[in-house]
Amino acid sequence: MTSGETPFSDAEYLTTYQVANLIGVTVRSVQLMVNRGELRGWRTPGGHRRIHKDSLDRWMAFRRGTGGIDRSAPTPVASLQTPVRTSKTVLLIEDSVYFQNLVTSLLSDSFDGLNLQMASDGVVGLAMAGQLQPDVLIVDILLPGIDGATLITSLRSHAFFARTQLIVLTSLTAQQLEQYRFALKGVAVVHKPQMVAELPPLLGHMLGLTTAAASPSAS
Amino acid sequence: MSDALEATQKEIALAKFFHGNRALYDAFRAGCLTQFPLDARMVEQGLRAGDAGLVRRVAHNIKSALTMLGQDALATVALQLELAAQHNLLAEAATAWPVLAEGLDSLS
Repeated sequence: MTSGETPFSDAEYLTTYQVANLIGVTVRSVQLMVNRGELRGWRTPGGHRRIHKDSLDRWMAFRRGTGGIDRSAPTPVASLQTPVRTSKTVLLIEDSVYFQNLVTSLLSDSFDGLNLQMASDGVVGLAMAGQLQPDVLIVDILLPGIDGATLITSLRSHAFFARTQLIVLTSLTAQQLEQYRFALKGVAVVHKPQMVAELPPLLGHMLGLTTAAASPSAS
Repeated sequence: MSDALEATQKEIALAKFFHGNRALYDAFRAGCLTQFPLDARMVEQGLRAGDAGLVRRVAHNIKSALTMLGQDALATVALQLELAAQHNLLAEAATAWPVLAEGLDSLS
């Protein structure tokens, strides 16, 4: 591309001012939406932002509740293609803010209406599991308070837990996981680096919302 | 680190861990950059208090985040910190920490 060319034709992009008028927000808000990745944009050689019209269409569709996945990005083979409506409850017990945020983003992109609750340590997580009786429990292993494996063992002694499905979300190595093996037999384990590809389809499968996906298991 | 190398690492991580979902990667990275200084304080607090469990957990979380950002060299340092704390070798952990702290600072 030469310096005078633009990535898109005039019909494919809008100025921040045009987008702001279209959706009824300030120009600054549009700039922030681009920075957050909600809209796709680029800059002219003079430094002015241009917004790809397709990304605005997707954003508007999302706001209308008709789907918001960025279809320009490659999607995992087993992933959900559009957000699936559900009223199921999922409890995430995870102390890492990095992964609390990532799970929240990932699941809100994949499931519409999912009731995602969160606990940051094992003790609170155990109490919330009893109170919420979630459809699926996603639990990390290294947790403050009670570790994930002890928490799982404790929950298994409660009758309500029979109807709760379980996913262990961890980045421990196989060697590090060995000491927790007693609690992981038959449990689906998702390794954090693979969670973008594996978690949504596995959760969808457990919630009865998708066809079977590959389910990594520690058994 | 050169800009070109950093850009390459980002593209690899984007493809490998985020399946090309740039918005998700960017949101994750922004969250990490906000959280790293907070976790750094936790590690320092753990080292001061001799709390190996806290140091191990936080180092583990930092390592996992760095791995997904494509920061392999720094993730290795975080792993050293995690393993030192796991084996209650806090003097060793205290040696690894400044290297990681400096690396985290350089990301922001």
